[in-house]
Amino acid sequence: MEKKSPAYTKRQKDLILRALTDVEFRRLLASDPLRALGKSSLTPEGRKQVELVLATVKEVEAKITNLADQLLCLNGPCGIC
Amino acid sequence: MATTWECNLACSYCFVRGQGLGAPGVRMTPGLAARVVDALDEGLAHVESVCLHLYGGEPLTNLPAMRAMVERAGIKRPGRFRFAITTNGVAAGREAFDLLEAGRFQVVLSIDGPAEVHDECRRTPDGRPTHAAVLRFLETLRTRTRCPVRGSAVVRSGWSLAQADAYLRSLPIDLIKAQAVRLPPGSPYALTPAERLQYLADLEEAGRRVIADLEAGRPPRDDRFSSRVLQLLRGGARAAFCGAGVTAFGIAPDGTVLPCVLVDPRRARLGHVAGAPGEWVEAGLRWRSAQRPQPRCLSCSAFPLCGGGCPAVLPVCGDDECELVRKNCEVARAVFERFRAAPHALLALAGVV
Repeated sequence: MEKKSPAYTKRQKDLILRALTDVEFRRLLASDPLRALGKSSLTPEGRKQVELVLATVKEVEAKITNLADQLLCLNGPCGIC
Repeated sequence: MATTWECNLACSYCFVRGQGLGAPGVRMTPGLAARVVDALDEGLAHVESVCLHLYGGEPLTNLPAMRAMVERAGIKRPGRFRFAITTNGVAAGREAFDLLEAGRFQVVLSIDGPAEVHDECRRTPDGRPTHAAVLRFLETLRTRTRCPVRGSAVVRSGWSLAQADAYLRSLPIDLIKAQAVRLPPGSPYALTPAERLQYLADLEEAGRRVIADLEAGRPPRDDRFSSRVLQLLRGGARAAFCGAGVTAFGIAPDGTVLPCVLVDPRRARLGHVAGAPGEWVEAGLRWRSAQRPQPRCLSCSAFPLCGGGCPAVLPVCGDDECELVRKNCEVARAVFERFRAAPHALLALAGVV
């Protein structure tokens, strides 16, 4: 797997955090990434980065919702399994 | 889902046996197992992927149903179905390992501690110990499959969370889960009041270990606080304890659909996998909207992070369960607060490192 630079990683995490905590930004990032990022164009790499951010945020949301789903679960609090 | 409620062990603290769940002798047929996959595919068309988590009973005692599900899922869209299994790891043969690998199962392996601890409770119906067999299973699983493994230990009277945690960390597993036995207070194996206090202290220590992992940029192996910490990071209150009835369903060996496989089917039957999928999906939404938090939940400081408690466990454990959940929420807040000014570190809880 290609090793990403620390700057790339930091930028990616910044985007994930913002998309996770700012629902409006997340919607805009999905519908109009250029406007969301204040850019006039996006390279294929940049588009891929946006897709990755949105996919990661979706996974985090699922992890939150699934508190107990993963529970019977893989990481839930019920402790039944 | 439970493909059978039958088990090849007779663990002395078994929650399932204690609850009297399911009709003994009912095993899911391969045809019904394949129908389960189709029904979930149709009924949950609005979600991207479905995780089928096999539970029971011991799911490896019904390999024909397991094979039917893995094969059926194989003809669906790639990535549509994922598999997980909770197993005692006893009596698994070559076919079981082949299926685990074929489905790339996430494996939750029940192992309480060293032989003298594990074998005190986890024995076959005729009384034979099982610890050695579980370790052999783990070794074979690690060498013959690429399945990620979570070790799951039951903390009980005489065996603390700290001890269980240390034991699990000594094993070649990816994630750990050690939690208090779910039994009514006063039952054999239930923690004594002094042990409960120690358990709460051990939870705090688990939180400190999570903080140390995050400071080192590592995802913690004990991820019990992760979803709540991430919830705090995202903001917003939890609408319900879990996704039962909406994003999670339970399926019994006879194909009955429930909000969760552990809720009493007499109280919460949503439908059957042979019926129209829309019916049990709608019934699940109705079940969820009918759930109300207990009056005392509304004034509980943990409610936004708890969502009202597990509908399957609360009737068994009552106040004891609330005390543990409250402490989990408290520790999750402590972890979050530690990184409030540097939240990037918290993304490791979601695997972003």
